[in-house]
Amino acid sequence: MGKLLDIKNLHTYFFTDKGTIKAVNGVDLSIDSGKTLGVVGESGSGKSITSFSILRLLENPGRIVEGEILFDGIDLTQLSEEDMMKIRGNDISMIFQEPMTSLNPVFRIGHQISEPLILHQGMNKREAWERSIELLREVKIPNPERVATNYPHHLSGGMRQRVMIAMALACKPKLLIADEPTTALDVTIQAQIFNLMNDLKNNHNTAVLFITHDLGVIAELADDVVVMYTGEVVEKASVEEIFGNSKYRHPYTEGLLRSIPSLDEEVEYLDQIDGSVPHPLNLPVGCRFAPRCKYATEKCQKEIPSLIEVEKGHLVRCFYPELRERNE
Amino acid sequence: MSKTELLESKAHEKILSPTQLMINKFKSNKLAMAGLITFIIIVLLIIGTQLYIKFTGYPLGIKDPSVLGGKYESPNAEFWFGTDKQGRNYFIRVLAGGWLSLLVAILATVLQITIGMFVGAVAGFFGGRIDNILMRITEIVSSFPFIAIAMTISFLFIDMPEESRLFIMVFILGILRWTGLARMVRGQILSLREQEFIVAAKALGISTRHQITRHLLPNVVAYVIVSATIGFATAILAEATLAFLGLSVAEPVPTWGSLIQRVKSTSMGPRWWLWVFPGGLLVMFIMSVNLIGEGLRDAVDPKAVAGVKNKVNGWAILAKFIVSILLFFVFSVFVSILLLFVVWNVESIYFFFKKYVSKNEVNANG
Amino acid sequence: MNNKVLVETKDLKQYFPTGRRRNESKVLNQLKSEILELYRKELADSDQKLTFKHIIREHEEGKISNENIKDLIEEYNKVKEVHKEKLYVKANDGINLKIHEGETVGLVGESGCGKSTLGRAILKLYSLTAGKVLFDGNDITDLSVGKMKELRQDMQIIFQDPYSSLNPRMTVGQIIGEALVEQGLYQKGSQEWEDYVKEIMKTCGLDDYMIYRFPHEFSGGQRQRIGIARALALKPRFIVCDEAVSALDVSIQSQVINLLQDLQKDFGLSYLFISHDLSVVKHISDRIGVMYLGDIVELADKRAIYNNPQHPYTKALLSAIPVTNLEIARNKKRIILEGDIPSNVITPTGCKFHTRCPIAKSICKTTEPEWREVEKDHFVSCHYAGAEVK
Repeated sequence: MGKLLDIKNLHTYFFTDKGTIKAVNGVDLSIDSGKTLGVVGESGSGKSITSFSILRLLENPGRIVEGEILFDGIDLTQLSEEDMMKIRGNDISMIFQEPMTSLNPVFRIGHQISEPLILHQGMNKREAWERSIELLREVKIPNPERVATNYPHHLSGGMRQRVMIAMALACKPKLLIADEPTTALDVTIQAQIFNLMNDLKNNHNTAVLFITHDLGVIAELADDVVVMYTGEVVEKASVEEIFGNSKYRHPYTEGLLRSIPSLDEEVEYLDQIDGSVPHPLNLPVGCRFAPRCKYATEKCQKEIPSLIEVEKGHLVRCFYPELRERNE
Repeated sequence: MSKTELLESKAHEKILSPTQLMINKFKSNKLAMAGLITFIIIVLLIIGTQLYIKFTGYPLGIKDPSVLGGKYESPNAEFWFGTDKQGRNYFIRVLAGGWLSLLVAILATVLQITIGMFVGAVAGFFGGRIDNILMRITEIVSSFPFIAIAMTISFLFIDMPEESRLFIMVFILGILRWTGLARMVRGQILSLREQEFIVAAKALGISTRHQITRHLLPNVVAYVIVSATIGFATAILAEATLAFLGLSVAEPVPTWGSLIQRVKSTSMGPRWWLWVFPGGLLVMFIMSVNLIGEGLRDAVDPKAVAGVKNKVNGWAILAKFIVSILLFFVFSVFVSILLLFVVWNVESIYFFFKKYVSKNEVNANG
Repeated sequence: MNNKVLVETKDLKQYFPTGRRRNESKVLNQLKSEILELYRKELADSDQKLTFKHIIREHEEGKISNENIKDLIEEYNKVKEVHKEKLYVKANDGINLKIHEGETVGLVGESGCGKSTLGRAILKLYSLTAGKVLFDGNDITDLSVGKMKELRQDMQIIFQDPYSSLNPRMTVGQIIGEALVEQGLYQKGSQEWEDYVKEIMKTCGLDDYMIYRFPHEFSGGQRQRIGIARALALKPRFIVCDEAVSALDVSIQSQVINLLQDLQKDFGLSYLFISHDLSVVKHISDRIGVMYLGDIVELADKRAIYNNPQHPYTKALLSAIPVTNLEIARNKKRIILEGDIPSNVITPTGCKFHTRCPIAKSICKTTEPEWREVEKDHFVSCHYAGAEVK
């Protein structure tokens, strides 16, 4: 089966007064239909900008300067704005982090879900309204007929996020981009949403691009994982390889995994990654992670490593990708 | 670079406070800078003229043949802005007219800021019943009609000298126009109070007085300055309005409003300099103040990216300034001419119409 | 562990008025018409003109024998009692908590459960609605502002948001040193003052050169360190960490947690560590309290909470946390709670958790569960504590 989404060498830059910020700097990633790709990274890693680039939602002064985004074989970077409108909300939809601000406060819930249906599927108002009630039922909202006539401020955060998911699924998209959809929600509500997303994924065979900073969430939901740091992919592998006992691992991924307190083990001290993410206008010369890396050598300070395949389907951007090699 | 070197270089790097950042941002806003420079030039001219009048005892009223020109001379090399009915130098009169406007505006603005900030800060900080009472008072005050009150006061104090009558009115202006500022300060403080650094100050045992003066007010000041520039502009306009209604000082002391007021509609076309110069100067002055206000508003907006000192050729900036000021002047003159043209045409249309009507009447009678 | 109690709350209640009153007129009207209808049906032969007042009077006189009508009238009276009641946000509804010297007590719970309010109420940043706060054995509930100011040296707070918690118009030195001057410990601008501020900054991992800089020049992690230094400068004995690491990136979060632990060791601090992240709380705390809708529902040693949770809510929380261990993640039995957290203005009757509890029985709806000790130092308030949750 071919790739549903295939991003090749994507570069998205922000041209500011003070210089060019290379927010996404040569990212390759791909998703098969029905699979979930998790993108992990801290703030400033370019993970959200990547998703905005896919939908071409970048605002000035951001621009895609290089690369291809192949969706179902079509290069999205070459499409006109009009063609792009047909794809947004229809073939690709997006769920945002803030359920409080991503719904329009002056329209009824049913109206907001109907909108893309009328626009993309050519339904009339009544059909769209009925379909939106069905969608609300599908995302397990109790009493959907009443909720459809409500305004967003009547609903709680978890309910709003369900509405957002219903909206995103309205046109049966092939790809769903979820940008930190549960970060603003409580854990018990988060668990509800994950349950729902898993059900929907299995029922609709939708591919999901899941963006988050929480490695735990990735472990629960994703099939494949991409770890990003300062606009670059530093590791790409299946979820088993990232969280399992692979021989190879990027020092950044390793540091992240070790710095999260675990519920199962008790340690006196957490391992920590020293320093902070470098300023995007002042990136290190060699490996971007070298200044914070425990294992960095002279070579790391001077040369930029490339993404190398260490096992089948497991790519690491490091000169010393093997755990054993580093520990000596 | 080694770590110690890095530290040293950081230690000697210029530290920019939020205020300095704002100034930098303001400086990089060309339109606002053009406004600032226009403002400074006009203010210097007004002050210079005032000093000249004070020290030379230049007679504004008396008809001194040594400084007088002919009746209604159009602008020429000797009298740049022409002369008026009495043959007085209109240039001096226009610039002297700005003095009172300036005084009045400064006084009114200071009053507005003092009352507005105090009421707003107290209402916002203490909240509850105090807030409720102060805000109701604010609402009542903001519903007073300014012109009506000004006219009443003018009649009440009819025996007083006109100049002090004007100042009383300006005082009224300050007393009536603080409400907007008070509301804004209150809103700002309410939102600041939610910020955690205020809770932190409380938890640290910082006294209430210092909580207000050190933590709240400095964060509000920038917004107050912005609002003050707008208050300043409205005060000047209000003075002009009062003068235009004849509620201000009378001859021989000039103000911009009274200078414009004295122009009779019949003389608008042929004696255009009588109103174009005071009017143009008034428009330019108000516009420059508003541009400054707009620039300040952008500068204090925290959402805009903090500016960093760029190393740009100083001459290039100067050239840009000069060009933008020139453009600004050209624009003002253009607008004035356009207005003049329209007015002229209105006059001729009016006369034409009048003639036509009277002719018809004659016909009808005949 | 040192057994001396440092901070104690006794039945602490913190309500915030909403300015509204409870409106039950819809329910009252419905009950009214139901009663009238039933009464007419039962006594259809009597043709006297019935008013509602008349029925109530009859009820009071004990003339009504019909059980259904009696029940309805009683319900009507109950609702009428709460109708027009003033409404409050019940942020804390009777909290009993002890924090020992050198100990870290963790508080977990979802948004709106009142955990942050509790932290601030203990610091007396609000005036309490009811109950007492004891510090070092002394009642500090009604202390005057002046006395409280002195005490502020001993109890401090660290905030969640590293951006809004620092005054943007003060330099780092002023932020950290302000309280030292205000409390009269140092002369403003003196060399000793500056040296002390620098020393504290060094302790918190900040460089000397930062002292004259403004907060906007620093990253989130550094700002959080500034906030910690500000709290630490007064040499407190007790610090409330209000979601102190929640807003930080993962790699920075562990740095700050380690710093907090180091400081605890060096200065013998006690922490009240408030967070919604159970894994962070478990790492740093000695004991953990679980909060739900203004109540602590379970309080125990961290190992006991994790290995032997008693309250169904604790179990659900634990199962909902995403973990990075794949084996555990895939084999874990998840308890998915239905519905949303109820409003904390009109809270559910009986056990507040019964609306979402998977094992709730009828007693849970009517009777408030007791706060009891199921094992040594393991407290829980649930009628069916320890019961298997499906």
